[in-house]
Amino acid sequence: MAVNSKKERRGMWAAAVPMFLLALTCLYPIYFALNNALKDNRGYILDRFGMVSDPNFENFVTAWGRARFSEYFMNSVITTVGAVFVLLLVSSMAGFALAVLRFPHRKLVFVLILGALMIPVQVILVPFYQTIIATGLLNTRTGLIISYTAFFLPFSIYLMTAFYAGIPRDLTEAARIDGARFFQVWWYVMLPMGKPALLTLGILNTLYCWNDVLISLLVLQNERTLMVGITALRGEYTTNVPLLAAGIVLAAAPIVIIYLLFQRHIVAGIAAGAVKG
Amino acid sequence: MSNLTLKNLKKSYGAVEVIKGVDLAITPGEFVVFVGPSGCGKSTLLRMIAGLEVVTSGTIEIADRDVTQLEPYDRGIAMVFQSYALYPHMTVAENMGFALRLAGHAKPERRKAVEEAARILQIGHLLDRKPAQLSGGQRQRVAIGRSIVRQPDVFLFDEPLSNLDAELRVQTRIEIARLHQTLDTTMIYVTHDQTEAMTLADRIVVLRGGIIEQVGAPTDLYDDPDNAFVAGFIGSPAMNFLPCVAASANEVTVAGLTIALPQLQTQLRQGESMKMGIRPEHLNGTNGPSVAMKIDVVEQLGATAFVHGMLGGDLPLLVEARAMRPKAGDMINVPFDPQHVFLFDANGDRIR
Amino acid sequence: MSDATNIGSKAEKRIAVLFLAPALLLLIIFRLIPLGWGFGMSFTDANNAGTARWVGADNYLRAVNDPTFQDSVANTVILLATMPMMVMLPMLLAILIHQGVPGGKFFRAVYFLPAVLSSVIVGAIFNVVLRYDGSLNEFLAVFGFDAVDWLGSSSTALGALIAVQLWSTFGMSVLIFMAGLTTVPEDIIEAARIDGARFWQRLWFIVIPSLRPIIEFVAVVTTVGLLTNMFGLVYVLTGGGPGTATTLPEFLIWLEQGKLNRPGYAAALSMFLFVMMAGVAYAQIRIMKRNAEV
Repeated sequence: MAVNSKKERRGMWAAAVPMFLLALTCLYPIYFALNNALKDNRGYILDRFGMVSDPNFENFVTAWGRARFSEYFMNSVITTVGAVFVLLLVSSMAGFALAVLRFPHRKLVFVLILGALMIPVQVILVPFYQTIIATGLLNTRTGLIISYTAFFLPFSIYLMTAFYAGIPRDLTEAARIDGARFFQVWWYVMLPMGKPALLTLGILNTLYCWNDVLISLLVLQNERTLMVGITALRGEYTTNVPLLAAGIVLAAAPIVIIYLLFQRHIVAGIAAGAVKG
Repeated sequence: MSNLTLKNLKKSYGAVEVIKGVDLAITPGEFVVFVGPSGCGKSTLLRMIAGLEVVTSGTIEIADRDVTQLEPYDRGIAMVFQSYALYPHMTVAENMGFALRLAGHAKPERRKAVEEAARILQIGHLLDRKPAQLSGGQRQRVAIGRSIVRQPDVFLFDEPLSNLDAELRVQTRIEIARLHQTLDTTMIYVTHDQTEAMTLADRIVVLRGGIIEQVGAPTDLYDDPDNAFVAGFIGSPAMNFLPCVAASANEVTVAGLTIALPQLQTQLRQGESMKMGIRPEHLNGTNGPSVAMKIDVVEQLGATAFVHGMLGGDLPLLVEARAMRPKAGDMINVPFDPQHVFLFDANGDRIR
Repeated sequence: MSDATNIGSKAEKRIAVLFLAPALLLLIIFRLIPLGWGFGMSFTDANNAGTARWVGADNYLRAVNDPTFQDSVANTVILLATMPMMVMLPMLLAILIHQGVPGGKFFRAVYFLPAVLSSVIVGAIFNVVLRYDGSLNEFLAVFGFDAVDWLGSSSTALGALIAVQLWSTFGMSVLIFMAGLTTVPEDIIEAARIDGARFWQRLWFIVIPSLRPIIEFVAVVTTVGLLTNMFGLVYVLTGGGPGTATTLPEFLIWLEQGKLNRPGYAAALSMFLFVMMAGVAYAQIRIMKRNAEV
């Protein structure tokens, strides 16, 4: 649908204007948070909307040290890294089984796993909470890792299955003839070839786990993860906006950095998944 | 180099039976080709021998060992795939040495075996490249090399030449024949191309609908087919089939012509309808009663010409003419040499 | 070779079980069993102290008559009504970027940025921005508009919530549409151009029909997000208020379970939510069946 005529090209430039404004609104909150984080509280009250005049990083230090922020940060890191690792492992195993191995009721199992996608945390809030208590996982980071895995598995399995299904059957058969047990087929052939999908999935799951609120709210109650900690921050510090802003920047920074680094890869990964789905 | 025996092999997918009882005994060092139209089960049969498909009933023996329940890696077989199936993330050397690596062999050992196989196939200079950097023909040779390294009891080929262009196909075909002479291993080769079958095989197994129609040396299948299907499948261009009627105990009538068949062992019943087969290349010469035919189309190839015409106005006939330059509209003399006339009954079985 | 009848060897089946076991175990223990348990619990008046009495369909009847729940459902209806816009806008943006609007690559990267932020962060930021004395009102004052208490007045709170949700999710949809646009066959569009079709005509008659599977996919994903992914936003941005103006079922469930100490009732509400989700799932499976083969 390439545009060629002058009229159409002018139309494109006209469209670019509102699109640019929209882009600004996307960037504004980042600017807002960063900008205000660099002000001190007095400076903020005096000039709430202008650019910071004498930036100082004190708020970051304060936010980090206050209210167990650094603890929460570590909790988020540990649970996110742990959950992503387990998710990648379990979903690539399950994806391999569903895409490559031939066993009875294969389609049924796949539908079942996908069906679990339709049971979000909210629908099973209470019994899920009871299950966590019953299995002794309440207030444990391991429990949170297991919970994250349980909730983000269906989507991950779906992606890995679709990806592995795209790998020609011949390769697994050649490996079997070469003497590979099925486990070795997975290890030597499927895993290395699945690297792009695993990377995309790893980034997506990092996003989901790091940003999660509800599940960690339920499972980790004495300790907290970062995002839940932020909700508390908001309550305490609505009068000290710069401090809140600094906390927000610290909390969002890891994931934003990951996004900026891997942006092209994320786009490619979603593209591949969307076309298949 | 070992023998391979299939005993009453059957395979069903659910309620559908695709292999309906196959018996076959292959002697050590033999080159056997499975050939047949698509859907006949030749690939399924090969994959059952390889262990990639589960056997519903029957047994498979390799080197006198019952391997029916064994996984592929325990059967002593190696397979060359139509799509080569090279591991894209490994180099050529790693591809070829993969099996040895899985078996736990040390690196120097693997390197030696890989280099030896590479020498036979003349791909030594490609060892450190990745498959994506190779041409189709080179990839095929790496696939073959991977099989050689394993030193299997039986080699399996699944339509290995189908993905190559015509010229490369001929070249590689000759190389495979040479390979068989060098290694003297039992080889089973699946193809739908009867030229490959005829040129490579010690024996050909013709399959249709999950059963073996005939097994024999290429020339046997050509000279003495068991039924109309084999007769029509083997030989290119395909045999002509004409409806005919028995004129007496050993004569048939077709297109107004009566042909005496003295070598016939069965007595024909007068008036019985049957099918007659005669190859286009046997319709020139001087033997036998002949009939004139008007030429419809000529496909001129230089040394030979394929002459299409209608016998008696409504029976299509293809004649392979040599050293002639016939033209459409001409009349051509078609001799029916009784030596080369085949008779088939209503079921397609050969009347000898 | 039918899929259902092509079974592998014993070793193959055994490994399949082994490889699927962790996934299935996790799903069964933490999602499927709780679902059944929740269903059972919805018929009791369980509370967090552990006592529970069978009350039959009482919870369900109470829910239907509960004005808070009714409000939350009404809010959901309004929310779902905005879904078409949440699909059309990203599609239009994606098409424009795909067609080479100047700055396309920059837009694509920036539009996705909000999706990377957690709902809590988004909520916290907008909480300050949308205040009566916040940035938005300051900005509008430049153009002569009066300040509005976006989050504090019940007439605008829900709209503000929807706008923020749209803001944070549209980037993902844009990406998905852009991926889908690469599957639209160029030659048909070329032929249409030669036939004289203008930009909007080409769009309407060719591009959009080709995009139908993607449109349906995005519609489903967006709807699922609206039903189940707004908790953080509601919690931080408005806390469900003012009054029940921004209370949504998923928020109410959490409220009933924790603060209001009525987990049995909450379970019944969850079942309502589940039925809504099941409806979406059914639609999704129908769509998937129509568009692709697994």
